[in-house]
Amino acid sequence: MPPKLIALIIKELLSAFHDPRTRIAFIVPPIMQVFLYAYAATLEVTNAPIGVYNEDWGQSSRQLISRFEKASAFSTITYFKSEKEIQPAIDSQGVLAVVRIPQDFSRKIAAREPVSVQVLLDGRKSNSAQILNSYINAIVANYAVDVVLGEERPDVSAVLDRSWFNPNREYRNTMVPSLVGTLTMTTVLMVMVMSVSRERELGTFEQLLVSPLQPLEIMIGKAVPGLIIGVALGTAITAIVTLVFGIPLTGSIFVLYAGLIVFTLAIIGVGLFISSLVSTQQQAMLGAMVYMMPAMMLSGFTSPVQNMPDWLQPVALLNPLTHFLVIVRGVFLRDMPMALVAERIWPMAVMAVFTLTAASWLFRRKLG
Amino acid sequence: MSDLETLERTDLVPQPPSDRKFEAPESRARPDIAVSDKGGSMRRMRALIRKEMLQIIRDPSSLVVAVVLPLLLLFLFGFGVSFDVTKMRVGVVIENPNPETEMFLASLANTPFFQVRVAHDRRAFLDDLTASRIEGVVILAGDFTQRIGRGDTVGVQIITDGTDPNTASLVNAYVQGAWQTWLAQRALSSGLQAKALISTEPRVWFNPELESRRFLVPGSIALILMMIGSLLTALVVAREWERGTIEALLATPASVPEFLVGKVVPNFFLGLLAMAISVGFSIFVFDMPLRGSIFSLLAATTAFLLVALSAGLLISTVARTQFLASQIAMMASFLPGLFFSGFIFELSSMPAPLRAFSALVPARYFVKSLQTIFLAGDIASVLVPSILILSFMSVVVMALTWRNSKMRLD
Repeated sequence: MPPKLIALIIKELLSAFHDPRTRIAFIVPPIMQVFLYAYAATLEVTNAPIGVYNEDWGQSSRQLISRFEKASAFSTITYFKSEKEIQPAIDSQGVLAVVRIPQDFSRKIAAREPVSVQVLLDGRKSNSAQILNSYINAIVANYAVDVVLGEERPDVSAVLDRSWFNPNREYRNTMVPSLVGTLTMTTVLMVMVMSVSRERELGTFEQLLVSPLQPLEIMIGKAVPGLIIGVALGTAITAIVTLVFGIPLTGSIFVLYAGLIVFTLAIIGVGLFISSLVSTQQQAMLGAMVYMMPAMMLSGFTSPVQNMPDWLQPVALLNPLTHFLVIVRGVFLRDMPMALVAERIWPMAVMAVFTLTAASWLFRRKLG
Repeated sequence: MSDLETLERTDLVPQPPSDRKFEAPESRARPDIAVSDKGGSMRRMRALIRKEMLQIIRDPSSLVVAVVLPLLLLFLFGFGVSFDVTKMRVGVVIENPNPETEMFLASLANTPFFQVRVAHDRRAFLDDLTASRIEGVVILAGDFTQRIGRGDTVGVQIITDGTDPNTASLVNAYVQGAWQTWLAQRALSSGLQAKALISTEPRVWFNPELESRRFLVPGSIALILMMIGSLLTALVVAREWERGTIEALLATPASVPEFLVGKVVPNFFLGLLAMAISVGFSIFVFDMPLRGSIFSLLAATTAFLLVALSAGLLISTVARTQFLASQIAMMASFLPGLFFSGFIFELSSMPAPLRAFSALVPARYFVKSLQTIFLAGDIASVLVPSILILSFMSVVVMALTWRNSKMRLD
């Protein structure tokens, strides 16, 4: 590498890190996000307030209610005395679900007649409502089985249910490793677009142009610090994930790095591409946002790609993050072999080549 | 000398006319000063607002923020983010094919939720599960038929991909459901009691189809406004510092509150524009109901925008470069808005300290209000406390901003 290029890379790294407040801005948000995703990002329902409206005075309803009291998924159980109390409680989100036991519940159970229990759910939180409904269903179904059991053979055949790779289905185990992808993307992209647009806005870009560096060299000088920052950040998060959260890296670390480097290159290409289109920092940041938001949402980070409509799924496959998240989750949790990882690396490599070429072409045209 | 100090001094001692060349000469008596300064203040604020408006209009990126970003985000949240699993790719392993297993396979394949592939060896789907090409594997053991009705658990196995816990739970629930239905049908055909002794009858209020889009869209509107509010205002003051134009502003007689009002008002209208676009898009494209009134929508939006805007200004007073301002805005407003607003993640399941922290996040009250206004209607027990809390927060943040804004060049 020619010494003038090395000088440019050192200059870029210095200008990215010389200001102590900016240094903090590099270090604090990623760490904050790691802990946020570890402790706050959950779709589970473990502490939901529910209500019970029992119109029945018999023993069976009391037995059923005591099962709700013992369940750990509910924080508090409010007992309603009249039907009128139900609506305000749901309206004000005082309870997320209400179980309504009909008047003839105990009588019908004693007579072995089918009876149904009404479950009122707050659809404003559709996912939680669905999960709560399945909890309540399970409790009621268990109770029904126990009522029948003991006098006749139950016609039940339970299903054995296992989850591989993450047996307790903990959100943390999948969210935290994914940050190797998302945080690397946001930070590298921000650094890339801001470093070019800042020089444009402050006028120092002209100085770079009159230096003996070729446009391509300027681009490389901007790209290499991005790569260094991306790989360093990815390494730091991998260390936090394994050391602090004890989530083991079941696959090979070399496979992870192969993915990380190709992924960072693709993101650098996108960053340079955006930089070549904008002229102020505000525009650069908005450009980065307009790219980052869809990239995050169409990556399978918060919700799986398969849930998207069919016409949107090919778009998600054009997103480097989609592929890298499969690699990260695969390498951390599933011991994904290189052959399967390679299936995801080559699309990112194609994207990297494409965005870097397009960016360098735009750069040269703009500078020339 | 800043105008704030000038104003303080004029309150104490009448100033010599040379110091106050912007005022009419007869403004020496104190009541007159107050009156004429009020007029000047209005004029200055108008000028500052106009300057800010022009800056917004001239920079196309601001319009991107107000128009394109809301549309893009709503589009993404509406189509891209969904917790409704509609097609689960499931591999079914039938170790010993017979009429019973065929019946069960048909009952799985006939539901709209599954996309079924069949194999006769469980090893066939190992790679697919590892590469996440399928969401789960259902294994019907070789002695499946014999085990039915014995209370055994090994006849049917479900293996799900735990790396996506939500989908894993849903796949499990749906397969279990299909299994129960199949058992019931089988019992029916053999003349046994078909219906379970106790069944549950779910009734979902406000969102009967349980579409996740209906709860995500109001939440994403809150996120959009938070971004526009905090991010843009955080940038506009930092930009003045970075470009050096703050000196020009300091040289004018504008005081701190005037300066702040000049920044808030235009961005407030930009926020309202974004809100109008978002609401229109949600109603006409996503077919969201708007069961509450426009008035309550406007009240909640105003209260929330004021908090978001003043938070942005507070950030600007700390950060003097746009990069730093944007990072702080992301950290202090966007991330808490994403995590602690109940927009995607379930607040009640978080650890107690985080739940307590979420009470300080303005987006939480706005998300709650929006979900209620869109899906439930004008419910005072939700809206009134939320709007009051938001208003109180905006007053506190504005007071903090005023105290921290040092209009000096040190």
